Amino acid sequence: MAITTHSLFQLAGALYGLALLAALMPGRRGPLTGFLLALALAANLAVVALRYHQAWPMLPMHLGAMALPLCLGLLLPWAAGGSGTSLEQAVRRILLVLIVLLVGTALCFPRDFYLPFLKSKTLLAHGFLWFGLIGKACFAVSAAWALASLPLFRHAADRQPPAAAMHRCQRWAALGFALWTVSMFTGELWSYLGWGTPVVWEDPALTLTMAAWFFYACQLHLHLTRAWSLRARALYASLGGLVLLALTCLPDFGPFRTPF
Amino acid sequence: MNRSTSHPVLGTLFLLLALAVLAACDRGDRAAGTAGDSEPAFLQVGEFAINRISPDRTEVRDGAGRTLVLIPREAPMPADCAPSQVIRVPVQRVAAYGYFDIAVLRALGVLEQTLVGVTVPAKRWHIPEIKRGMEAGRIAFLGDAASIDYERLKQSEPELVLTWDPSVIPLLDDLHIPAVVTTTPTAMCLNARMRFVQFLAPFFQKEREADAYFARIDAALRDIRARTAGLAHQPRVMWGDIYEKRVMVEPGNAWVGELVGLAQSDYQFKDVFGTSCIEITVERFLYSGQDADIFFTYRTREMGATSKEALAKLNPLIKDIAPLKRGKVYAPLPHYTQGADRLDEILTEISAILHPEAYPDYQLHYFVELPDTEPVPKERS
Amino acid sequence: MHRSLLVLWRSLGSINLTVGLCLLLTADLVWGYFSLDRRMPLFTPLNDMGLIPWMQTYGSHNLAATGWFFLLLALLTLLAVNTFVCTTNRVVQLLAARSDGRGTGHRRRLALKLAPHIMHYGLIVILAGYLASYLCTQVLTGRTLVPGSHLSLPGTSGQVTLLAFEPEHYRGTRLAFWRNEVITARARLLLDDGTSKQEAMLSCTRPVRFQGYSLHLRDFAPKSLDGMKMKTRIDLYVRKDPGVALYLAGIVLFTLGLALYLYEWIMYREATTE
Repeated sequence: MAITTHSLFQLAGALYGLALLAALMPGRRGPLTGFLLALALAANLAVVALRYHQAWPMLPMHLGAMALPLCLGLLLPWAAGGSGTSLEQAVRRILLVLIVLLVGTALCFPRDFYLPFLKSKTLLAHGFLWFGLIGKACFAVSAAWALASLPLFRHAADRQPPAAAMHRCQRWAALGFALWTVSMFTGELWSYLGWGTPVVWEDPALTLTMAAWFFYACQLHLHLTRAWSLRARALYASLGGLVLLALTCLPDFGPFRTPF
Repeated sequence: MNRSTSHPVLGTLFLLLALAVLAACDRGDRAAGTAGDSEPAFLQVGEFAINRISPDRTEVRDGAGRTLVLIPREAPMPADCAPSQVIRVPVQRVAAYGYFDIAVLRALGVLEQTLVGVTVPAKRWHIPEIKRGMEAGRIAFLGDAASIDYERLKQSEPELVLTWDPSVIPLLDDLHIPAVVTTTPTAMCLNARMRFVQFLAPFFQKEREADAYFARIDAALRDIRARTAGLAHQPRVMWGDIYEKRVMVEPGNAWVGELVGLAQSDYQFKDVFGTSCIEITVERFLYSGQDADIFFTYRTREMGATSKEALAKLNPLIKDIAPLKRGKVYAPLPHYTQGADRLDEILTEISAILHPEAYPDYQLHYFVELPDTEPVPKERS
Repeated sequence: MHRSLLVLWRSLGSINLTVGLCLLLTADLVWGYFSLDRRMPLFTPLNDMGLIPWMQTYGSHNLAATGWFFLLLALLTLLAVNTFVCTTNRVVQLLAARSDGRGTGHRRRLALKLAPHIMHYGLIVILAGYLASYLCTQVLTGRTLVPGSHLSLPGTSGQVTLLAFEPEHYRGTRLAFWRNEVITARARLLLDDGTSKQEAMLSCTRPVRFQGYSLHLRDFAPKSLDGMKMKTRIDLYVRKDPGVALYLAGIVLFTLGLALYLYEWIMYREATTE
């Protein structure tokens, strides 16, 4: 069954890669990209469904590595949709690159060998995982918009000012922060019910969860108070966001394994 | 929001906070440091810990996270803890469940004088002192761990029970017999395995013997490091087994996993973290088996590990892993689990198995290499 | 003196301090991840022995691995103070301005403007709850019950008896590794407060509250119908935690503030931008 999961995930990775190539090709390749992305998402969804099938009613362990690309892919139409400006195209490409990188890393560094545990048989555990994953995907979108607002990614002909991109960056960061907070609270309740304390020091990943929370709390404060310049905020949200994304994904990755 | 810049006052405040934290730690150090001898005031051994509060009071944390208080035999009973939490030291009568605990008693040199009860029948023992003690009636068989004979336990009058099974604790509490849980949720690392003797030492006031034992094992480890340093070949090792469709392995944080890494070898499950004998997926076991050179099975000859062929028949799933096809497979001998008092020899033997080139003419004592096929019975030849 | 206090108050409420603290907390927690990874035995006792004894033993004897935690405490303390000062200043301003307008619409706008400050106060309450929890929780560690045995709760007349362990085993084929394993661990307890008795069911994520204590299922045996024969037992975490109510209240407060904030963001800010 896990071989099927692995093969399906390889297929999803290949399709995401093709969707990225289509998005990078000159000319309007929107329908082709969309079609390939839909196929990739279907394969990725099947992987997640299979992993759930192998664990339900418990929580599949370290599902994040496989489910985060799915969440990002599903958010893509909203994250970079609209009038199809060059900024939006840049964001779409950045997100597709991120998805391909995430799938590639998950294939090369899988951590799918732990068996589920009984205390994860609660909706709170599933809520903790999914709110966190969607929140993380929103953070990735926020980082992508911030990256797109930097001069390196802005098309000369694009008349959209960086402030507009940063506005969308903040919108996604705020949504991600809300979901991340709900995920943390759900995790705390689960932890309290299962272990009697809201913070269980057995799991080092909790520190990264808190780190991401403070990072985005800081980003929101910077935005609301305009304490830093727009460019400094864009750098913070883009580069910092990507580093934080990589760090929060770290606990879901294992040792190197040849992906084929 | 107030946008005024930070003030030096804040720096001072921060400094004060840091000092307060350090002061709390310092007070703790001093409080714990009143033990006044050469032993450290606080010693952590994996998930176990010893906290020497005063010469007359030592608090220990066992594998289940329970706190027990050690007091001298003649000292008055402390008022702040239940009788079953108090252990008078040196302990003179002890009952023990696990082979490892008993081997540690042997390492401390207290086995013959103190052991009064075990949960394994006489015929399964390889430790001569226990065989003799059981023959002489000094050491009682208390019944199987899952069905202890409490009358016999009471008659043995232990002052302490070393157990891996917490289910015995409620009854022992009723009998006012303190118990120490000697297993932990996370596998014992190499350091904890070596230092466990220092955890049990205060119970018997044998700290010097414990230090000597630790020094011996440490010397063996240094020798292993020296012999294997710079060796070009790094064998890939796996330790575990499959029982029907369930896979158990030693995680990377277990002492064997750490030892393999220390002896210039590559442990295939070094990234796996958790309890000893942890269950993982079959796929991961088979993947790691694809390019392993050496496989240590949990099974003994008595459990069917007589040859690679026999193992493959027992578990058709593992028949294609590399150690069974072209590598080496080792099974523990029955006395291996009872030999933790000779941990230095065991560590050296594992190192010799991994790097035979560094240990010429080494004879195995604790493990046996499995032949490819079932040995032909001698009667026929 | 008065001027110094004013300067101190302003400094403590500085937004630059907030930003600095959040960045330091982020960096410290990332350091914490690498310190905590695979050093579980060092931090697990924090769950039951309380903050001060932990600091005096495990914490201070392993500063290389626990330094980040001490820094975290200091930073969180400063953040709580900074948050309180900053948000209180703003709330006072908002309430003072309240007299300028009347009507339902105005009151609604005011409530929405207070949303971030509700979150801020929520955060302070959560942190206070954690502190109370780590300083004052009474934990009975390693409590095991076998059928028929009982546990007395210190300082009360309460007694808990294990009547029966009634697990449900997995019989399906979908989870091959779970076949015949316990899929639902249920322990039937008798709670006796000295005057009345009642039964309660304890399971993995369903604790039982009794006489101010909460009982959580830590482990149990046997776990499977197959394999090694084990005696029936349940291991419990028994805790009397005064911080629980506080941090649960903080969570509710923060969530309320967050909901108001998002509502305001969507209904007003986004609408204005569009």
